[in-house]
Amino acid sequence: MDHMLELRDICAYYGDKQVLFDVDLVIGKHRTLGLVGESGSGRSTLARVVTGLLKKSTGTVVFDGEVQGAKRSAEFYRRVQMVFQNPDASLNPKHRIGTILTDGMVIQGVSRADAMVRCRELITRMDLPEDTLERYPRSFSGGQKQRIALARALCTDPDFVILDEPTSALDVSVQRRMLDLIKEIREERGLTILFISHDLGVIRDICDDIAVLRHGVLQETGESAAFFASPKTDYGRELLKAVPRIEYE
Amino acid sequence: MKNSDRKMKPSLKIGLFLMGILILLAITAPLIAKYDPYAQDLPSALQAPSAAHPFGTDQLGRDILSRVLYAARVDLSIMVLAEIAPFVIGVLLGMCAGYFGGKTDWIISLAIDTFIAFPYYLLVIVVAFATGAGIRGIFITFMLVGWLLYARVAKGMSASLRTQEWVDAARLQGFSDLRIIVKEILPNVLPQAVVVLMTDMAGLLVMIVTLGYLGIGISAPTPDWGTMIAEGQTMMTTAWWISVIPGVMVVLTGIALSFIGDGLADLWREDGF
Ligand SMILES: Nc1ncnc2c1ncn2[C@@H]1O[C@H](COP(=O)(O)OP(=O)(O)O)[C@@H](O)[C@H]1O
Ligand SMILES: [Mg+2]
Repeated sequence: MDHMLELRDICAYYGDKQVLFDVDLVIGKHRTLGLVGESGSGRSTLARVVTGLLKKSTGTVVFDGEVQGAKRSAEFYRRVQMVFQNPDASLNPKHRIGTILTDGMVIQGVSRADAMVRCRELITRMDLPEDTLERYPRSFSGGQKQRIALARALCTDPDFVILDEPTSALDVSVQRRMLDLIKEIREERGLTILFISHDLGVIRDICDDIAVLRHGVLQETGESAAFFASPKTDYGRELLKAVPRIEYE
Repeated sequence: MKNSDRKMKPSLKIGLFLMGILILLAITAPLIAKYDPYAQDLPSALQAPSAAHPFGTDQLGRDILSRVLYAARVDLSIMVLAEIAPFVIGVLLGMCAGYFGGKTDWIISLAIDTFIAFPYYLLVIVVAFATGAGIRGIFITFMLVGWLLYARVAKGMSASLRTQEWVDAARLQGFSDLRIIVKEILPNVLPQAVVVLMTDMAGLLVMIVTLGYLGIGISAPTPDWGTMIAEGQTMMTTAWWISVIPGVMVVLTGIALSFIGDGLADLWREDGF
């Protein structure tokens, strides 16, 4: 199988505190991998290592066959994007949505006018109001902000998207819609996704593969279906037992 | 809600109106003033306010209205000019310290702590004596210490802003650090820095006036509110207008600046981030 992302022996630190311990992980092309774990288990940190945001780390990050150095290329940032955990903090309060969405494309060499056209398509696709581009972040709900963040991530037409708890700050009804949207866009664009969540119901619904992280140590990886049928580890079984039997169908 | 939808607070309107008038008076001084601010006219010395001299005359027979207006040109322009470099330098250094942290922060913070340890007015007086009386001393002193306040404000804000996810998002868009500082962080720091600027300008004006009053600032015969207050001091009971009129001008400027500062702070607080 062709790998989109391959992580080898990843260790990460905040100051002297180590939060990731020798993590090895692969994500196949066009697959969605669910990274589960309790809050504080190091999932966001792993995302920061992959994207090169966290400098204090060791190990190897291989993206689409290329070993990544300390500094990521412009091409990497076009192909890899991320939606952050907290929708209220992920948009600069001082910029209009139009600026937030187009700046990245303009940096990539797209003209402002073309970028605006592409933005408008995305806005419509995301079911956001028509005047979205002229407005400031504060006037949107959490769910809308999350969709704007998703739109920003999709602007540069990436191949690989990291979604860090994209639905956990949202109401249940809004969650449903966000998940459907993610699934649709995944099919349309053939995205590879690293989907971070603590919600096994959501993971089961959306992921092909799963990886379980606990206190910065990877517990088990495998196909999602196999995990939900019978986890390989005690911790996996424990997690599964704790899930209320609400089915996401 | 768009930016333009937000209502200006009354304090901001009053402040801007007052400051507008003061600046207008300063700019149009040559048109409004009927007398040469330097022209002595001993026979008409110490005249009380009248139709010919609305604010009276001083001990040399100079027209107080004309002098007060020309002094506004001198004092207000020094006030603004002396703030520009410290504001720009302070905000930039503070943002760099807060954003980069680590060694950059350590070096800039060391500089801040060193300069902040100096007693402000003492430094002003020492520099004034070293460079001789005049506006040069004011500029030099303010270059040394004026940026500290802005650096501290900008540093604190940037240090907390850089952990916001929108800064990470900007990095993922491939933006350089410089671009993130200027286009992402700065718009968030600027409002607070401008509010501080208003307060600090009022403080600087008081310093300019105080130095003039002490005879180590702007020196006679250049019209300046501080020297005017000093000149009239011994005649407060007989010719109050010599000191009181320039004093009122200082107070009005201070009020205008603090109203603008408060009004802007209210306006920008609504952005609530
Ligand atoms: N900026 C930071 N500074 C210091 N420690 C941090 C920072 N961010 C996260 N941590 C710590 O690192 C560990 C992993 O955090 P994180 O990756 O955010 O976990 P998760 O996303 O799985 O909830 C936690 O113990 C957390 O307290
Ligand atoms: Mg997290």
